Amino acid sequence: MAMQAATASTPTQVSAAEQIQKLREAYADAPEVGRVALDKVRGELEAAIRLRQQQQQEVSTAGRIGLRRGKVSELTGIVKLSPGGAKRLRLLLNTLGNKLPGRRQGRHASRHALCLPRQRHEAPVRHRI
Amino acid sequence: MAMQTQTSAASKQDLSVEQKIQQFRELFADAPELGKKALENALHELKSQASDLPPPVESAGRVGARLGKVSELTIIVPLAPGGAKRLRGFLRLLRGNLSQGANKVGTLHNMRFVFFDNDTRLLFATAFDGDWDTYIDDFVAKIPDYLDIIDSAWEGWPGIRSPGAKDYLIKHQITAEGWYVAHPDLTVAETTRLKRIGKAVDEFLDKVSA
Repeated sequence: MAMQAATASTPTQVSAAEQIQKLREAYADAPEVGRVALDKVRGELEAAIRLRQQQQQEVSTAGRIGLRRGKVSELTGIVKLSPGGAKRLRLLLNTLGNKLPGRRQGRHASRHALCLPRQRHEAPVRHRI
Repeated sequence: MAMQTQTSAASKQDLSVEQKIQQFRELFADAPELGKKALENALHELKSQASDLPPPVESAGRVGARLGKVSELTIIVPLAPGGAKRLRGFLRLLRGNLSQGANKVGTLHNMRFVFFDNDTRLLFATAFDGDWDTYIDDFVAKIPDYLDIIDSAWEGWPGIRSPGAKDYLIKHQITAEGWYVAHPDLTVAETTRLKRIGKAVDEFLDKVSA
């Protein structure tokens, strides 16, 4: 039985090694600092992949959009501000301090609000890891 | 005398709140109709919230905001050619789960990587315990290679061991204007401890009631 388990785990190990190899190929044209770093932690990464596969610690979707791990989801929005919008929003945030209205709902772990220094006009692209 | 002081402080605070509300109204005069209406609806609540002294949001050190024990770090960087592809490959390899590295640091609450502007820029946002310099030093001491794997996707990243690394981070970090944390009094270590205690108490109660 122990032998069976050991045999069953072999494809997973091969798969982890293959995945690392693919990543090394992707990093072939990376700056020296990135390539060296990747080689240094190669063993650790393989172990992490195997652990992930065993524990099935998957990131899932938070619903229509966004990611969720366990009970916690992320929501990242990048929006274009209307004229005067930054000034109004800044005053609101400065007045309320950390007392943002969502606190009463009791489901926010943390929330950032910031104004980007440069506005870009392209539509933001969301990417799911 | 104490009563007088209290009354005087209260009226000063009230005046300040009234002034703030007036400022709001003036600023929202040219806001879209939707915003103006929402402000009027929420005015009563805003008054009461603004009159309580909020726990102060402080500096996390050289850059960033801190509330209680929890700080924020938000970086927006240009990506090097091919950087998005490499970094995405790395994140996908771990399915976005960087817990192994994060656990070594031990002060990291959460982090996210968001590619935008057609993979030419990256938003990196994280919540951590304590001071900015200590946090970065922890990364340098405990997981320098993971940082270089990730950050070598960034245009001009000098390497975490470079004396210019902190300057690079500061140059690209934007301090949040608003910073809310549900439990600003709990560090990662304290949360872990409370979870352990809670589990032990549950197990104990299960045994007692069995």
